Amino acid sequence: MKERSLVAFTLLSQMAVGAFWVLGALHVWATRRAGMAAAGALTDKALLAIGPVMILGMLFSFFHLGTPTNAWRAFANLRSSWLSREVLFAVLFTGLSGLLAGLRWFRVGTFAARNLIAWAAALLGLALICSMANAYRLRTVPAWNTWATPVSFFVTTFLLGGLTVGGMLAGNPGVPPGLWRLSLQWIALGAILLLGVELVIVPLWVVGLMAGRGAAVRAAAKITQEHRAIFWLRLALAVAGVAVAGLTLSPWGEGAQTGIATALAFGLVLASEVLGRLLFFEARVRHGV
Amino acid sequence: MSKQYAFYFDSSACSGCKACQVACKDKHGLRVGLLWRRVYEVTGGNWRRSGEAWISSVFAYNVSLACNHCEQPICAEVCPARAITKRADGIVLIDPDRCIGCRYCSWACPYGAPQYDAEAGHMTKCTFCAEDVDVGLPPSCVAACPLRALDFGDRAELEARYGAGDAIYPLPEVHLTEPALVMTPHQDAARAVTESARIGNQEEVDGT
Repeated sequence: MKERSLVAFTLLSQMAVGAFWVLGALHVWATRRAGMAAAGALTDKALLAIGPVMILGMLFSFFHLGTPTNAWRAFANLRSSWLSREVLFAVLFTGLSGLLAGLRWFRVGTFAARNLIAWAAALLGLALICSMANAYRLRTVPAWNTWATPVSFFVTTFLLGGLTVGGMLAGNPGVPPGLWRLSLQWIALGAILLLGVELVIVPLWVVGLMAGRGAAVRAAAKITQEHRAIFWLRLALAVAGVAVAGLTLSPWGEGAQTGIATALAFGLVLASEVLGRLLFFEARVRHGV
Repeated sequence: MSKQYAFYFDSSACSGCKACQVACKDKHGLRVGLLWRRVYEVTGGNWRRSGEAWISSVFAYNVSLACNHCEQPICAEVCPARAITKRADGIVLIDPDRCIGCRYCSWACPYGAPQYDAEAGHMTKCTFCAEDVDVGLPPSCVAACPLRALDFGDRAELEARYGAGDAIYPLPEVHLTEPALVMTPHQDAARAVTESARIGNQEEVDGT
């Protein structure tokens, strides 16, 4: 299992972009429902964490380079390299999301200005995930050059992002109780739907590889034979995540239990996504030699 | 039409002596683990019983492979630092001062050409011995081959002289990168596709 630093970078940046979008949606929803102050109590603290998560991810990426002092050159090939574009969008998203968190925290700037920065950061985040997916869609690596790469990257983005926000809210007692529980339930519902999508696309991806030839079949064998235990554990953790997230929607999930179930679902899904990403990198079997 | 330097390799003539591999390693002072030119030993076939007799249908051939200085070099296309460039004569080179050592080019290249020098922290690969070619000398691998199984020159001229064949196992389909490689296949190369051939010296060519 190599490429652990890239597992960390891709998952942390997807988590950050997804969390940013979920926080934005929660903020709009809570403002309409309970006013600006309550919405701020719900999202402002969590927003502060986006920048550090991105910076942590980029540090992993930075230190996997052979010559980190040349890292600034990574922007040099925007014309044809999706990796260059990915780096550019990662830096811009980190900068703008950090700026927004600062403006919101210190109550600086007009609502319109903050709104504009929020939209720009959100779109840059999507551009980051798009570039990341395309960076892996190398035409010489059949297991990566499929529809499943962008689809699974976006599913992970919103799945991990939502549950990360849920996990942070679970430990935030400063939010009005009604708003707090309803927010966690919306997050759980979204997570259940996305996990359902994931439980369909992962097997479809593997079956598609098995039906291919050469490098595609060898990649499928690595996933389903060489790393069979990890593959099944990854799916089992996702199913467990669905079940635990479902508890927040049940009558059992009232009061503190809602927070506990959300935090537990986050842990299960994070573990599942880490294993899934490790398998993704293991599937890097090239055409040719 | 612009010039495109290419290698020619005659798989039917190659004995697998690896003089090309050693000459390259020696000329460029490559560290342990780096092989800019590698000789892949392809093996396949089986023994089958016919009455009381066991009949061999095994086959083997060699493929000597370096960077193919592709017409569509995917390494240069994906390199984020623009450290890989293609000269007007088709030779693809890595600038070690620009390389960031991300290894992305080695993921993309289907020929295993870009190789990471862990000590130096950057990628390396076959230079076509450009400094020699520029003064009219052959690349060291071509000069070293005792069986004249390697040649070099303009791709169009090589194809006119030797013919333009399809890729043989274990090479990928040419449409992926349009390699500047002209080959004469071994007589058993066609069998490699149907008789589950494999690379017999994988550890050696992987540099492990």
